[in-house]
Amino acid sequence: MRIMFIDDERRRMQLYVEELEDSGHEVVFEDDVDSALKSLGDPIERFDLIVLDISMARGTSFAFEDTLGGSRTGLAVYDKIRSVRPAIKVVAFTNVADRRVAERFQSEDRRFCRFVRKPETLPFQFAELVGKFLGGTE
Amino acid sequence: MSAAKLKMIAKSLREMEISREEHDQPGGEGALERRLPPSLKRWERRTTAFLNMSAELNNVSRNGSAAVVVSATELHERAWKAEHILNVVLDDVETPISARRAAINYIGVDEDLIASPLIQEKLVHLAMHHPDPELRRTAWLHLCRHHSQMPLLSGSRNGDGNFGRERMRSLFKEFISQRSPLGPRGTLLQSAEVNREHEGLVSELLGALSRAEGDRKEIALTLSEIGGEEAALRLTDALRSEIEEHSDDEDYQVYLTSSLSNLGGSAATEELIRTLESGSGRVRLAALSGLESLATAGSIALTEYPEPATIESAEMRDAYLKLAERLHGVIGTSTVPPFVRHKADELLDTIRISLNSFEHRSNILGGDPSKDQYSTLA
Repeated sequence: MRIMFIDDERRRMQLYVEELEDSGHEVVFEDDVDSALKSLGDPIERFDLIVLDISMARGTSFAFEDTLGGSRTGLAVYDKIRSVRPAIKVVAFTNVADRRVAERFQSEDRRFCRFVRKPETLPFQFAELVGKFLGGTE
Repeated sequence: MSAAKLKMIAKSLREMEISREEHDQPGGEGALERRLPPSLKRWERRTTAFLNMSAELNNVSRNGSAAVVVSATELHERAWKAEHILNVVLDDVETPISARRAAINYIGVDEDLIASPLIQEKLVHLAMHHPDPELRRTAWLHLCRHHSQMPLLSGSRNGDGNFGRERMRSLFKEFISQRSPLGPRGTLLQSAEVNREHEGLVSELLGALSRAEGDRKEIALTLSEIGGEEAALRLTDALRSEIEEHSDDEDYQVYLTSSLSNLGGSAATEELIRTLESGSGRVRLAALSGLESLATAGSIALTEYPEPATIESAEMRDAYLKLAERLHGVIGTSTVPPFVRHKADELLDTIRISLNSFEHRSNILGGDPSKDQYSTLA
């Protein structure tokens, strides 16, 4: 499966990316929100799942106020994703324990959205979770 | 084998945690930096160390028992926390902005962490001195949100001292007497210029607000008389935090609203509109009064009746149009108190006159504004 991994801390995520690749997935890493949105807006680009960080640089696509200083950039990106890819599976993958962010994602349709916290999830666990989500068994 | 590795990682993390706890005790300043192993003091090696720790935990638990997985996951969380704390508190120029921002955002929503004196001190430092303006603002935002959640401390913020009520009021009177006191310093579109003679004081006052020191109401008001765009942005963030976190300090919100009404600019205007849409009754009225002052160029201070302002550019016209649309929305929202909607309607009438006058002048001068662009506001 082809996965887009959107996170501005590429180095910090390398273990998670390696686990996904070792599980047989192709991972396209985007550490820039603008570039990620451009790819997602291109109908030729096929992705089966998006892993989406929440706290990250807002790029030029969003205002500071709309992303709460970058702490909720992922929320704004998610809304844009849904507008162009309404049925794509998304894993919101964050280190931020913001209750309101969690509630927002947890209220989404579970067929297409999951919320996972980085500190609580070891890389191999993350790969297993993604595998099950893609396979519809989790 | 796995137990030994887990034990080693637990020991390293515990040492870091003890150092931080020690720093937060009276007389413990500097404990964290003193006791931290050299390998953790610079970002490059620190990141490698924590990545290796993550890899170790991952490998140990991959085929481990359930108990091992539980232990490894718990240590993983603690390691994550420790790394983020270090990325905030260490004055390490190598730490990239993305890592600092992630760390600030992690800490900012953790009530225990952000209450730590060590972390507060470092966040204040970042908010005031980091070279990246957006990172400064992010640190500031989290400080504001934390302060807005603190219970109101009666009297303790209003006392004497460098940033107390008496000194702030005295400064405010002095500054306002140095200019024409009527009308705001900024406009709907443009923030006031910072008063260069008092730039140092602007910084001091922002620092005091970041530490929740002194009488913050009077500090905000004094800032409005000497501050510029950065002060406007900071006070905008403070007001937004107060409202979104449902702070019970309504007085402070009213003072912030008044301050933004003086400073002006597009960010301040936007925040006043948002406050009009979502604040408490008293604060909404203050926001409306502020928007009236900005939209009428302060004429209400002179005549006690809002006179339509002269719109002098297409850019200004767009700002007035946007304000008019938002007022229209407020008037049509049944959850907004009736007296607020009534006052908003009055302001909208005044703005319509300004917009129509601009259109009329543009037509005379040969411009081509759409005649219908105001029809939706009727």
